[in-house]
Amino acid sequence: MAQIVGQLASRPASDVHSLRTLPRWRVVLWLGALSLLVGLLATSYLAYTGSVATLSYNIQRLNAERDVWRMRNEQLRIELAKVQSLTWVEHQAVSRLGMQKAGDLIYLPVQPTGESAQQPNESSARGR
Amino acid sequence: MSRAGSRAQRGRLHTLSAVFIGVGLLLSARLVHIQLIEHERYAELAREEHWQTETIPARRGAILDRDGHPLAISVPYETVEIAGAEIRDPARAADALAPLLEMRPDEILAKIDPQNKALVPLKSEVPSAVAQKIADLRLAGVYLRPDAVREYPEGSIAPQVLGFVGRDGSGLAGLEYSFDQELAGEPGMVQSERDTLGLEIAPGPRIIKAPRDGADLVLTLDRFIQHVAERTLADAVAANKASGGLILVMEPSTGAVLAMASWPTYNLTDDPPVKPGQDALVKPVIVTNQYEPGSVMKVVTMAAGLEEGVVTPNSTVNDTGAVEVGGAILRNWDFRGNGVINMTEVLIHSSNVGAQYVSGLLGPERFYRYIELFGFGKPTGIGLPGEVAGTIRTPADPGWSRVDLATNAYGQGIAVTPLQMLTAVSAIANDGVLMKPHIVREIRRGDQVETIQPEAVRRVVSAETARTLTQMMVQVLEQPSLQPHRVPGYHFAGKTGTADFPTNLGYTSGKTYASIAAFGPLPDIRFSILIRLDAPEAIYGGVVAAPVLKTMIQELVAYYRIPPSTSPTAAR
Repeated sequence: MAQIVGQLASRPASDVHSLRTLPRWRVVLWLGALSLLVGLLATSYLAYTGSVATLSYNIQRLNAERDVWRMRNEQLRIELAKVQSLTWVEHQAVSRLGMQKAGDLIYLPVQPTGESAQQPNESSARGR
Repeated sequence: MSRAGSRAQRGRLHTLSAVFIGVGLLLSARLVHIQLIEHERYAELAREEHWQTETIPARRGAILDRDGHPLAISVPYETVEIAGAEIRDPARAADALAPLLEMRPDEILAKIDPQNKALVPLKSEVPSAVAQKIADLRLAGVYLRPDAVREYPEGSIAPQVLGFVGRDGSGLAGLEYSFDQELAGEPGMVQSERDTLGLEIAPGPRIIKAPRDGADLVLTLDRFIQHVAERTLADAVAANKASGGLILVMEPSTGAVLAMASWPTYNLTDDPPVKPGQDALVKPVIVTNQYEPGSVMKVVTMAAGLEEGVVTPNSTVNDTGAVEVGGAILRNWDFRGNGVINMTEVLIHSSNVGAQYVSGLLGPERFYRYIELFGFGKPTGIGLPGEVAGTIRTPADPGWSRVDLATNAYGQGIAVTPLQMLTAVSAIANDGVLMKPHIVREIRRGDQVETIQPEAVRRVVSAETARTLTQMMVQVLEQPSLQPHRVPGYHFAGKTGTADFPTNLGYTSGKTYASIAAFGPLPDIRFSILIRLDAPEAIYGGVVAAPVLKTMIQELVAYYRIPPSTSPTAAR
């Protein structure tokens, strides 16, 4: 197209004037080609904007979906925290498992036996 | 055409031209006015029309215990709102919503006012799974609004410390209030182009400013110790028919507060948490309310005496049960004399005569210097709202007399906060170094973590003095009258206290603060505890607070898995 316009522009006035004398089929051909080009451009633009719009809507929908899942995740997290709370654990331990509060803890002093008491020394002797 | 006709035609043409020119000028003037003079205003209106700004709320930071268990956390839920006038078939809408919202249809119908165009909340805290089902119903006049709710997974734990948030999500009490700026974060916004129906133009430009979520606060509180302290306190208040009380647990080596319980209290999970007229329950009384500590203050007096060398554990005083100071007769708590006793026995028998003897030897200058060194008369700076400094009357203050020096030595005529008292006692447990008490351990801003390091305020007495005093305090708790309240195999140092309630007319007979401050187990001290019961039926600290201390020690040594000391006597 630019080439044609260039050619026309570079011609002398007498030549331009002679465009009127161009055969009709050539004018129709040029106009047809021009229309086709414009049509193609318009269609591809529409297709492009359409796909951008569709993508944008998809992104928005996915974002909304992601937000919902995030919310559910946080709600589940709090449920998890609740079932790990001391009150809940204590309640379940007593009511479901029949556990009882521990009484006094008894610590038994353990003296190392001769064999086990000697082991470190033996190990030392082996250069550990 | 005649000449006259041509003139008339020209005249009409001129008139018409003048009208057109006039209208043109008017339009031009208006155009100039709109385009140039009022340009900004109309441009702004156009922007408002095309651009819509939505706020993206920031997530409020969570409050976690020392191990990261959430104590208060914001959870996004949905609130279902209805515009009665927009609902076409109220009965059908009520039937559809009832099973999802776990409400009765008639309950929902009662809230649908066909005349009301405004949005009315129907149910809040709706989980997003349920909200999705409601959205899928596509009921006209039923709307969903995101709404963050503050949840307390551990239930109402440490309410006076945590505090609560208002309907707008801003902190109104406790740490929620004092750390509101950190917790709140900064909301973001999304700006997008809208069509004539107000719907976002998908391929249009969007400007997004992401919100900055609030920081998470990691506390020094241990949820188990806090839980135990609250339960033990509630039981003790009921058992002793007390009007209130408090339990404070601290790590002496760092100043970290492990538990802070007080009674009466309020419930964080109630809506609203505090009823009208219950405002006093919101205060963290451990820092906002001062009291006369009574004999627990003898620890500070004795520390000053030992450090200054005016007494040793073996120095003696003749305790006749009463002493005349500045024209006033000061008596022991039991009105009895103990004879010639040494300084350890002064603490064991909680002799007022002995304590005032030590402060007398020190003199006002040295005595009040130690009072100041131990942190009294100044807020500790723990970060809880409303902390007070306490009240100390020194010789520089009007009205001070020699009697004050004597009574202050055994904790009367001087007012301190429970936190100040335990911080001072903890300094003895920490080899004489006073630590700044703190309750916030970390501030987590995303990946960035600010750790609050333990801060030593100053050395108040030498390590030697602290250890000597510790041995004296061990004997206090191991005296025969307190044997039933000992946990076998564990050695603790402590001091009981009984202080009368002060009133405008002096001291109320029969109403006391019965308290005990202790630390241990020796030799590797892990925690210090202050227990106070207000106006208990049996008035003495040794009688009512000591059994509570035993319960706390039993729970704590089991929790920390501390085996009994092999040595029958405490040694550090």
